Amino acid sequence: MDVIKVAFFVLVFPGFLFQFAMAAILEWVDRKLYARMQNRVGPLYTGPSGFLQPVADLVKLFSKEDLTPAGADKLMFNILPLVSLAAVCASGLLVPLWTIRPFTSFPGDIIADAYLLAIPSFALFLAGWFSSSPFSLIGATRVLTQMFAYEVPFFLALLTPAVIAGSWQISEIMNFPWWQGPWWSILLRLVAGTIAFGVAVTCLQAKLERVPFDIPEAETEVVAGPLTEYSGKKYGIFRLQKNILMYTGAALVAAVLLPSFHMGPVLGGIWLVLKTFFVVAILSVIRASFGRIRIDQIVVFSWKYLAPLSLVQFLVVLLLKAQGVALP
Amino acid sequence: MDKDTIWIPVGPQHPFLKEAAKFDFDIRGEVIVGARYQLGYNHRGMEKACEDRNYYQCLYLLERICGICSHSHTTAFSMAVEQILNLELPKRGSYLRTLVCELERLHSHLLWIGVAAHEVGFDSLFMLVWRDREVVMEALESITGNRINYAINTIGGVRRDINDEQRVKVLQMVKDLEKRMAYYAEIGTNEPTFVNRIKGVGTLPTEKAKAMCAVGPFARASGLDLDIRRDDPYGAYPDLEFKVITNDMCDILGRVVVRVLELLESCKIIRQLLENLPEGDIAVKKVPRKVPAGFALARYEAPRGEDCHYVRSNGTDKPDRVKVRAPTMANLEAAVESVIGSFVADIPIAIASIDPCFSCTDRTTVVLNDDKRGRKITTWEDLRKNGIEWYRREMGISLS
Amino acid sequence: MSKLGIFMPEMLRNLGAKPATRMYPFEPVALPEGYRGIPKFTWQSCVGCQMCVKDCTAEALVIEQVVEPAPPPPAEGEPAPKVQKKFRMVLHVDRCIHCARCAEVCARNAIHMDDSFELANFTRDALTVSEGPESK
Repeated sequence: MDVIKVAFFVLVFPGFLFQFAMAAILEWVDRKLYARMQNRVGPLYTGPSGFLQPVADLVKLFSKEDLTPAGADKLMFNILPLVSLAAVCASGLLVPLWTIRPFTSFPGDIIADAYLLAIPSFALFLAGWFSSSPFSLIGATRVLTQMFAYEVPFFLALLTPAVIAGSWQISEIMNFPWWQGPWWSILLRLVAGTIAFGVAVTCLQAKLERVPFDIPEAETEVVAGPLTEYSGKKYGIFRLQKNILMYTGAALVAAVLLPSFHMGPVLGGIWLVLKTFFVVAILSVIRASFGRIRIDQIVVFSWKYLAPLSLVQFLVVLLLKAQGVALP
Repeated sequence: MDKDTIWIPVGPQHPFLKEAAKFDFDIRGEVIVGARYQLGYNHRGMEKACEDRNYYQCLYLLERICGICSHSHTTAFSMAVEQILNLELPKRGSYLRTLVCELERLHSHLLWIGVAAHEVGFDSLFMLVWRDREVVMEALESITGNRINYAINTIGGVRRDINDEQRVKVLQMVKDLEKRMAYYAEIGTNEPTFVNRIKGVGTLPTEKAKAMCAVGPFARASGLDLDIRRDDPYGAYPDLEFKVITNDMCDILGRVVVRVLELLESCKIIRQLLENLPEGDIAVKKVPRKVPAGFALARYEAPRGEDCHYVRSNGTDKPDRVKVRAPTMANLEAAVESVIGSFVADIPIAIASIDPCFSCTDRTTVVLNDDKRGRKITTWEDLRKNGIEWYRREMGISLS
Repeated sequence: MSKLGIFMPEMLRNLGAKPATRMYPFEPVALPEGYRGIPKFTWQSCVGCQMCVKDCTAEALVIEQVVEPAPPPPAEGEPAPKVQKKFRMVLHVDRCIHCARCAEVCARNAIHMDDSFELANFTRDALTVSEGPESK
């Protein structure tokens, strides 16, 4: 009985099938918003208003020819898409979805979740490294350089609510009654949370390698970056992984940085899904409003603005917490 | 090449290229240390095909050298043939021809702004500018019958007239476009993610631009004051008032600014043309089909720069030799040179900043020294030496 | 950095605007009146001067004379009936570049351009159309 229960959780909900469905829906939302902001229609014909377009794209990719270049390392080339998909799906299991206590929860799971979210970037780097193409090499080094830019502010921004709540467990962070306490305490939580939310959303955009941070995969410069030599099923798996990463990253940011209330399990899950849609809408607006910046400009921007901002607000929260200010 | 330098081939097929051309870059990390280019992938034998076709067939054939600057090629060709025939165009025909020239400049510059935005990843600007380009295409379609490849030129004038309704519509279109373009100019030159990609990138100092014979907006953004419409006027340009836009920035931002301001200038020219359109014929009535022997060189300011057509006739109804020198041919060397020293990320935007049209360019052949097959290049010094030797041998004169 | 995000108001404004996409082929597209489609032939006016064939850049036109059986010989003393030559046009639609030179150069106005543009087809043979009387 337990095995069936665990299999259900891992494979259906909130496991693989649910994440796949959410990834498809979120990709559709993103593409439709992006198109509407540019005064176009976006996906239109597959399904009502193009709803099934992400699924159609995946089916098409899975039916295409799958080539492995002669000079690439066979084992790494073939196994990396699956590794990154597995890491992303595992991190999705830790998102507190249908109840404030998710299917598995343990102290420190916010760190584990953020760490699992870093594995896809490494997998992308290795994928580019082991394909034998100069374009994928350039793309792979850019992935790694970009990681140096966004990882630190991302972690700091995610851990700010952990410090405020006094726990490293996502469900405890979500349960924390932030609306209780003296008025300056609530104000401090809101201000710190807003800055952290801004930094986290920007770093999430960089992690997902979308405009303005999509220089590793810049289509006009390095064809497809690390994924240049991938085609067919393996490429389809990488794209699926990117969409599920968008869902998981957005859900994580929405869970800890956007306000949550003490609703029941079902309403709480629906509220989290709505917050995820909101975060993805913000990501779409960012994608539509900016151009791509160069890798050196990304590093400079991150260390000049993002990291100091997140560092300062983290330190302030830490100091005031030590003085007993932010406690309820 | 040391082991830190890797060689990446960009082309003949690459997502940033709209047509096939091969570039080879030597890069160290992200910095480009060497660049070479090779053309010829778009060679279609147009010049040879012209020798078998009569002048009217050549007109429509040369139109298809390029889709974006198709009117440039037909106009330059017609101007060359009209020079040989000594034809004087009626005023109205001249004005209509210039009207389509300026409308083509509008749509070409709008296309370029969209493409430049796409090369730096700014897809929103690309979509919005191309949406606004659609109104220009509709105006061209209503006047000429087609969105590209207008086929409105004939030897001696134009083939179609415009009525009052079309005239009013084009004037209205120009007015709406000016407002839109002023908005884009303001935003596009102030958005940091766009400006930081193009400012200080692809720099070409003025002396180098002059030494490498750059033409068009590419040269005007490096401070050179060249414009065939003013220096060697043709068509209706002697009657029109317009400014030649130059700039001292010498980088890609300068080229963007030059093109945007040229767009606004073209709108002014179109307004002048339509408000002062004279009455009369649109083409010379009887144009001889057999052109007497002679030759002519016609220069035309295409949206990309100076387009030269050389036509030599021999008394029949087919030209003897047609030679086309497109502006990209003059600019490409300078563009590839301007990229050395910057980053890999700057390659697409630096090469796209000359508004490359490789279909226009590929009219040349590459000659190599090949001793096995007896092919040799003769340099200027060889020619001089041969000449001195010949005079010494044949006439006993010593010229060295 | 002060002007970062200067495009955002336009983007958010576009969310409420109607998309600029034209829904062809679900909505018909309006063609301008001078649109150049493929040449349409009026065989009654053609005299077979072949100027259109000579001036066609793409060698897309062929004007053929229609072969007809000879009329019966006239009765005694009556003049022979005047036989007017008839011509047929064979057009290779896949070669036509829609420049309208044939329509311009025809002195008898036997060719004019129509406004068809949905010319794609599955076989090459379907793209060779002929207009005019058939040879018998």
